[in-house]
Amino acid sequence: MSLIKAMDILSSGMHAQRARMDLTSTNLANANTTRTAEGGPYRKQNPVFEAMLTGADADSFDANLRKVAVMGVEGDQTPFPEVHDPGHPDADPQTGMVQMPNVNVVEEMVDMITASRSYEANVTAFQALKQMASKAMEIGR
Amino acid sequence: MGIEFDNTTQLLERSLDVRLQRAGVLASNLANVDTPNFKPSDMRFEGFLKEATGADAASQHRAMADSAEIVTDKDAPGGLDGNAVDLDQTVANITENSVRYNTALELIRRKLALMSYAASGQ
Repeated sequence: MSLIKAMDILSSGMHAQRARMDLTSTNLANANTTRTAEGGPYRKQNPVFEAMLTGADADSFDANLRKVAVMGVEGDQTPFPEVHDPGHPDADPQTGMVQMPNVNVVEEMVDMITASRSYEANVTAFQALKQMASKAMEIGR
Repeated sequence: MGIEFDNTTQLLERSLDVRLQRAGVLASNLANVDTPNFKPSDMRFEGFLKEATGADAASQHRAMADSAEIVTDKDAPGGLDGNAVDLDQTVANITENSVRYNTALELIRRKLALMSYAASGQ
């Protein structure tokens, strides 16, 4: 166990929050996208986080520590909401209904705030560790 | 093998070790603040305090070495995603931990300064 390891763990946390923030902005930007390469409207993307061993042998202290890893991105399975808009280019010719992305703007904003707060918390902890390390170097002074 | 001037220095050194370990445990809680079903861990020192009071210096060292154990509350109630990390609590713990680390460090520094003052013979 060293301070560097703890810093490594915290930077994995920062990385994860940044990935989440990236997805939130993608979702927000595409809140009204009705056409995608896969067909149909844009599907909300969610990051998948997993707690991961830091690569130590099972007996050592480090086996208690977990980084966070972004395992991938998954499409949200909430059904697409439909709105009546016959003039829309992607509207159903019979019914005039348009399938909209399953992105909830309010939800995304809340997600963005929590991601940014978690990121800041990681930075704060990182600074505390940095201070510990530099203080340790002053020991013989 | 560490700085072996006296018992206090050894105890302080041990305290640095434990604080460093706790920093790692708390860092991994914080990094996993949004990981579904993650349960936070922490280190427990209460056992150490109880054992160390009234005991002689040697057993104090033993007590500190042995009883700073890692505990994980596997049944801690989590939020909607089963995650039980409290962000503010964790940041507060990390700050507290680093203050205690710095305190132990400062005490060691002063002890060494005292030692070098004595050695200088002035």
